[in-house]
Amino acid sequence: MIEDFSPFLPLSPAALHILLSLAGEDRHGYGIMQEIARQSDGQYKLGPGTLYDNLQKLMTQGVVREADGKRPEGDDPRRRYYRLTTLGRGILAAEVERLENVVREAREHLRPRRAT
Amino acid sequence: MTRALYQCLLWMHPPQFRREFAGEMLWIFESSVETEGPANLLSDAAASLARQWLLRSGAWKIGVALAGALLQVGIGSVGMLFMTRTGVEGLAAAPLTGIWSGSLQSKGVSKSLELVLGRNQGAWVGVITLEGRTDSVADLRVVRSALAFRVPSPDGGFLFRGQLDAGKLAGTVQRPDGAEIGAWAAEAAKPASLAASISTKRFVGLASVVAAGLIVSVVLLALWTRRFLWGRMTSGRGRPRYAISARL
Repeated sequence: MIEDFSPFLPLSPAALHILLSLAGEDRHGYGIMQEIARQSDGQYKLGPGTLYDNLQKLMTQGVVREADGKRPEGDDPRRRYYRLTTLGRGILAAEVERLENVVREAREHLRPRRAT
Repeated sequence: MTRALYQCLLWMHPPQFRREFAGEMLWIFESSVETEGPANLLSDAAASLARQWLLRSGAWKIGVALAGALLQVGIGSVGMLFMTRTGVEGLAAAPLTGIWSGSLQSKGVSKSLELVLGRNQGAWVGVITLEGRTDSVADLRVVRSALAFRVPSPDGGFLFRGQLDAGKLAGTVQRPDGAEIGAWAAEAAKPASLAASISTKRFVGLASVVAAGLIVSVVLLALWTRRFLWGRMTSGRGRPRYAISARL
């Protein structure tokens, strides 16, 4: 079965970075913010307001859900961990593929042309 | 201080968002205020507050509906006031409209008098009955509480001048040459009912239009609110907003 993720695409930069940060492991909100800053070498920073606005949307769409795993010892009870769902993983893969096509197209068009 | 301010901004978020994320956001604030700086976090919270209320909560739809309702009622009221301008004048002159009953004293003789005053399409009209004889009055002029009219007759008629004072109409009767021939006085017989009927009709007209505007507004608001609530219910957690089409 091939799922059509086109209704979700293209992802906003914030949503893309959130999904990317959750692709490796479950993270809490602050962990997502730190991972996004690390992935972009500090060029893209997400505030808590923007983060939770996007998380709320992604959770409503079933792309991200709250992780129900075991919490680390001494963890702050206010922290909640978030996990990418199967749907979310598929959407992220589809977005990456879309971006690869964009990059390939861009490279082809930006290649120096020979004078005719 | 900045923590209290941040907490206050979080508290002002829509309840659903606040219940779900305010605790975590406050925790992030406490954890990152040293590295991110309070200004960045506060501005982010302020932007989030505006975004949540204006874009996500759907409250703007209710605001627009209420503004529409107010506009509609306002336009209806102003329109009716404009249309019933003569009615307002009529209400202002209401003390003189009605039936006045009294007597005319002339040369030691008292004659019974009944005067009916009213307004028809903005113009004053009147009928006078003297000793059983009824005539329409001519040249009826009313200025505030004073009135003057002519009772036509083959010999030139009589000129009545009067003034409303303490609920009584009283004045003089003159010949066309200005010679005073008597005095008259009358009390209100049924002024209230006539004035009331005029004012009631206009009030009912005004109230009908305003009520119609209100009903339309309430229906629109209800439809909008229902749509808003329905939208909220169907976009709840766990129900994807978009359908995922599948190909085998």
